Amino acid sequence: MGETLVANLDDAIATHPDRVCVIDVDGAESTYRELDLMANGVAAALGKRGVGRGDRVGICRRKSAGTVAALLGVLRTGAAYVPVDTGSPSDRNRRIFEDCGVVAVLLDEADPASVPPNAAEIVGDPPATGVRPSAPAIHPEDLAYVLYTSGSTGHPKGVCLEHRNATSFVDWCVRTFDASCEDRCSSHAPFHFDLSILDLWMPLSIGGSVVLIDESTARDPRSLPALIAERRVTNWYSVPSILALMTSHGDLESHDHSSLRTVCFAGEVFPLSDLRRLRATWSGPDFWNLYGPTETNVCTAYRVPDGAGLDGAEPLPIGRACDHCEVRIVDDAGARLGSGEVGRIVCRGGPVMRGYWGLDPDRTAAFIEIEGHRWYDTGDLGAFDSKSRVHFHGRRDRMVKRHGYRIELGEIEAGLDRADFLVESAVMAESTPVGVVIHAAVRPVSGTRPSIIGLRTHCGKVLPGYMIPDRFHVVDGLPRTATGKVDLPRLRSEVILDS
Amino acid sequence: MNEPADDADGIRAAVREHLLSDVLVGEDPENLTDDLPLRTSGVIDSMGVIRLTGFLEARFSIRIEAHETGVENTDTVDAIVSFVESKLAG
Repeated sequence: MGETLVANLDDAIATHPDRVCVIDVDGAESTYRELDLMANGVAAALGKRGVGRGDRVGICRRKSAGTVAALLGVLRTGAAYVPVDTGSPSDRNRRIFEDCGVVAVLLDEADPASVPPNAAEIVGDPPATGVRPSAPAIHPEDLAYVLYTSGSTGHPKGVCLEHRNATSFVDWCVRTFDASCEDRCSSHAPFHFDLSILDLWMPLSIGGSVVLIDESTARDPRSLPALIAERRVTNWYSVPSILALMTSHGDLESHDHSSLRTVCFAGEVFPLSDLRRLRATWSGPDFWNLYGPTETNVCTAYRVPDGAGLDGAEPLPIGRACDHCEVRIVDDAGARLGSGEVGRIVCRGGPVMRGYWGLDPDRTAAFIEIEGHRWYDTGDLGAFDSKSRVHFHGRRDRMVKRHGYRIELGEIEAGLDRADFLVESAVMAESTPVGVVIHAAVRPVSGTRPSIIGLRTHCGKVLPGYMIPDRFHVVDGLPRTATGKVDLPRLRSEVILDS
Repeated sequence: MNEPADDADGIRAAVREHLLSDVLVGEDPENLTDDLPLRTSGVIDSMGVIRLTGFLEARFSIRIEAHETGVENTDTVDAIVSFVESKLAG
């Protein structure tokens, strides 16, 4: 394995030019040679606009072979790619692109509202070419991509990952899942989501095939089982919620899924009852529970036992530290805790991010120094068991996971506060057997009463769909603590328990 | 409890009741007009569509294919009612 994503993929192109590289959303196949030519076209188009090493390039494109080629084309120029949600409001995407100063944006259709004033707009697929533009040397410590996650102040945070962070993780994946050029790996998650790193760069580094799944099929539990069978997917990776929906609505028994070798899930807790049902239907493949915030890729992994091993009522562990990083459970002072003691889950090593875009790592609260080393504090709580496996014990802050998406409740509040008909808001999460329910308590301008439809419509304009609250509560005022902060426990008891 | 009949009025009542108890809890029922844009305005997101589809399938014993859940069939109460009627007419 090389130490940059470009070196790995160029090696795969040279070794396997005629193997299928990408199976597009409509089933069309592209070889490694064809991807190479498409990526040349993208790199040439970017080069003409002056894009080079150290730059950032925005990607606001639906999944396609052309989009995969666009990622490679960006990386070949020495720039880093910044993928965003094509379904998010243009305004939010533009703020992300402005934050990290992209010099160009690649889009499916022209959308000036999402492109910063000084950035070049490149619409559609540039013509493929056999001429490879001259390219700078790419170094392992160069930035490869920036993934934006929900930020507590209302501004998404850019997680900056270097080539070596990605290749350290990809190398671990290839070894752990015994991946080969014969594998056909699902690309279920959107490209702005960190699961896409495994989906794309594991197969692309070894001559395997990426099976692209478009965003509407990805949400449809009744179309996915047929797709897995038709495309003969060998490696599946997704959030648990879609696997649970496939188990209940997907009629899995009527499909031939004998091609599946490995099933990985990450991003949230998989309810045990659903996992048991899925495991009973898909008895062939190995199942893995992967854990890690975007900032660390994946840092612990747990191989899920077969049927009988799932009989207990205890939640599954998130597993042992991956061998390309170090994971500890520490107290607030950074001291290691013994088995069974709950503390902060911290991580350091190969896959851990450089930092957040625009923030000095030395002043980033998520980094803490222990014994002279910089560790990333995940914000999650956990405890080791006697077998050195980590068990997850929830969050310390106001971040929740819903359908695998990371959501800072503060970002929803900031979005609500942009409505001129609201004075203030407070957002809370409730854990229920069917998942996380998000409640918003809103105080309207005096003498008015917004409709729920009006509130949802406002949210649809300023927030991605997965952040829109499930329940709105119009209140006359928010309870305050003695220090003037919103009294969330009291509000919770007043609002959620009454609903 | 008697289920309403599967004519247009019965379908409309069932769809409204589902929406008012799913994504529009607390809304004044009068605000949910038959031509209110639901999808294109952000009132219903993708998970809301999955729940709506599951509800319609169970309530009316119909099978809805993935390609049928687009905006053209689900953006307004009127569109949903027409769509369910066409499925029932089979």
